[in-house]
Amino acid sequence: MSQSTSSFPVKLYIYDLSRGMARQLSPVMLGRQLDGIWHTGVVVHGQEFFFGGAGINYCPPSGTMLGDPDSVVELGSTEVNEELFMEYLGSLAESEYSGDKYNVFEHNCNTFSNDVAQFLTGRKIPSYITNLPSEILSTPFGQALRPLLDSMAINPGGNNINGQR
Amino acid sequence: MAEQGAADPGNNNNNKPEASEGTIIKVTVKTPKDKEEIAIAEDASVTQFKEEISKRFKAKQDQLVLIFAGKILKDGDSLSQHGIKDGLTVHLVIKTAHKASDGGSTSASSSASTQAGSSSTSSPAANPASTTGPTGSGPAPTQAPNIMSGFGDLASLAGLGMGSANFMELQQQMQRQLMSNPEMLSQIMENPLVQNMMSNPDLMRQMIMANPQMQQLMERNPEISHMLNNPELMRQTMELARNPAMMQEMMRNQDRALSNLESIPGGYNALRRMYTDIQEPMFSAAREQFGSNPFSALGGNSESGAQPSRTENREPLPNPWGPPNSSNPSESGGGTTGSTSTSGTTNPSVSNPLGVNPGSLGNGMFNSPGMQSLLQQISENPQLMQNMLSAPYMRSMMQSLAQNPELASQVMMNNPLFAGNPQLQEQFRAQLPIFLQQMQNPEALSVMTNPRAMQALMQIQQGLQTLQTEAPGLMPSLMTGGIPGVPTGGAVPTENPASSPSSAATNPAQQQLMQQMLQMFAGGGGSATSQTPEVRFQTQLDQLNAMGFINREANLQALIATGGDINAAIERLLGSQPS
Repeated sequence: MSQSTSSFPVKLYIYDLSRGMARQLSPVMLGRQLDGIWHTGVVVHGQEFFFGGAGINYCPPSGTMLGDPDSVVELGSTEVNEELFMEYLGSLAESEYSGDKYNVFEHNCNTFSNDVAQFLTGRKIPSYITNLPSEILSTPFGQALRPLLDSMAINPGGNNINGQR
Repeated sequence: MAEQGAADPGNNNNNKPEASEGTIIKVTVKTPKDKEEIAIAEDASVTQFKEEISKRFKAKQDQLVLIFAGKILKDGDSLSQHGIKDGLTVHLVIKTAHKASDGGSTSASSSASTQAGSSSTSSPAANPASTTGPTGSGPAPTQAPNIMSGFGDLASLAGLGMGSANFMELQQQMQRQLMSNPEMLSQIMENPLVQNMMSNPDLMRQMIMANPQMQQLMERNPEISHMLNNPELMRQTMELARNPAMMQEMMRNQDRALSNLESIPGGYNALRRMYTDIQEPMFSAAREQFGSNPFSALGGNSESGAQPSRTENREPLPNPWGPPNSSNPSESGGGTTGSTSTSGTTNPSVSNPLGVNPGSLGNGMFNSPGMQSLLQQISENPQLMQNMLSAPYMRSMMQSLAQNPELASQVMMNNPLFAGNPQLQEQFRAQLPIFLQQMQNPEALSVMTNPRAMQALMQIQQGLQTLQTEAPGLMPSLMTGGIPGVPTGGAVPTENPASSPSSAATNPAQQQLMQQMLQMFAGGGGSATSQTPEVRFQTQLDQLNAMGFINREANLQALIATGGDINAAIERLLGSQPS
């Protein structure tokens, strides 16, 4: 029984892409209160991993142009070591999370963070984040903007992970 | 045996769990690529689980790494140990490279793999990626002709009140409104967005070149394209546009230079040539473009540039009955116009590409074909007049004029009506503020918009004029009081004290001015065909001049009174009081 499994902390970095504007303007524009437009990245093994229009990216924590996160959630810890994790990400990048699979509503950075968090820790990320797209789409405004938003991709930068098979 | 021992590390046999007692649970095994449901005994070991998985996923057991709840499932563990129950999901990574170490990593290997993992990262710089576009270009106006259309935060179009559905017109109006309000203009110039845009000579050039007339112009005159392509020049011009004082300074230098130039033998010709080559096409460019808009037609006369935001426009709007102003149909709102006059010699030079000559703004306004067409339009369309007057920018223009009598007077001085009569100019200048006030009086405005009222006024005017020539001594004061008050139709009495000091000598000219204006508005009575009397009687005037009657005003008046009959006019002149 090898109990020398180490444990790596896993954190979720949450960014508000609207920089506070959503909190202020959403009641007016959308008709419901949204506290932010959330972008997330998973920080583990000393790197921040996130999914954007260019695919899976990683960078040092808080290293994207978004700067420091608005909030950080401890997801727990994982035994998955870095090598394994990178391999996992590589497979993801080849399949589910290649760049062209990005969809700002259905399959976005938060979807990725959610999957990775579950992989690493078995826990999901807070639901207010994953519920965001449906909240937006449930407003007429969101519906109206949908075609526009669909064509957008959020790309905070970083290095790309490609499938390394 | 009912149960396979949980602690059975070396058990690699392929015995399937009998599962006679353990219930079968369905566990979802998820890889990055896919997902399978695997039925396994609840009490199975990880090894057994992996066996199943290897069959299903067609991979070697060694390659499988199972993760659940953040923990890596080791072969010796059992599923229940980890809490894996029916319906839960276990993650699987199928390793390609084959590593001896199980999922459980020691710190040593983790550091090794850290290196591997981060080898490609040379500190991933936070690459400011595509999300932020270039800010330099700003909201590049989609409609090339009008720089102001790009600025959404500017004066709300709704306030223009022109009632015009034509967006182009609206734009032009907005431009004019801008021009009419110097503070607004400077505010806009302060706007960092604008500055940003303007400091980008490429953008400016692009906008300017987008105008087809400009393009034609440039084809004909390569010098112009040189001018545009010279960033220094553009920048300088933009500086000028921002700084009125500097502008004036430049104008003065310009004028001086020009007068020097004129004195050089052959210089005058050069100037003239320059003028015809460049100014005219620019005029016509400006005019064509805005043919439908009365203001622009008006302005087109005394304007030289359709676009380039070179030199600042001094006058907000052409005021057809007031001091001749040049409008600004320019494309790029930052500054604009060149103005030239038909008789002026303001020509483009290096420092003043469009030959702005503020001194001659509005010169010959009344004579221009533009003016005439404007008047025609006005007379045909009283509604237009109404709109024109009620437009807010009109008000503000008048206000600014009122506040800046010097400017207005400067303009007035060049009005041919007043040419040669400094007294009159003085007079008018003194009265200008009041005059402008009058113009702002809404009652006055409503009178203006009523063609019949205007016609009546004009008749009164004519009557008074006749009266004056016939019996000049009869009621000078009445007339002085009446004349300025008449066109406004409003506060007649207030005019009296202000204008009574004016000598009788200035009356005829004033009357004439007023009369002409009224004539224009009323669409002309009998013979007036929206041509000023001056124009109509040009030949006669010349003849009178040749004969020695040098008082132009008096000549004109006489001609008007006699309807162009020279002989009768001469008699009038000889018999009337010298004015």
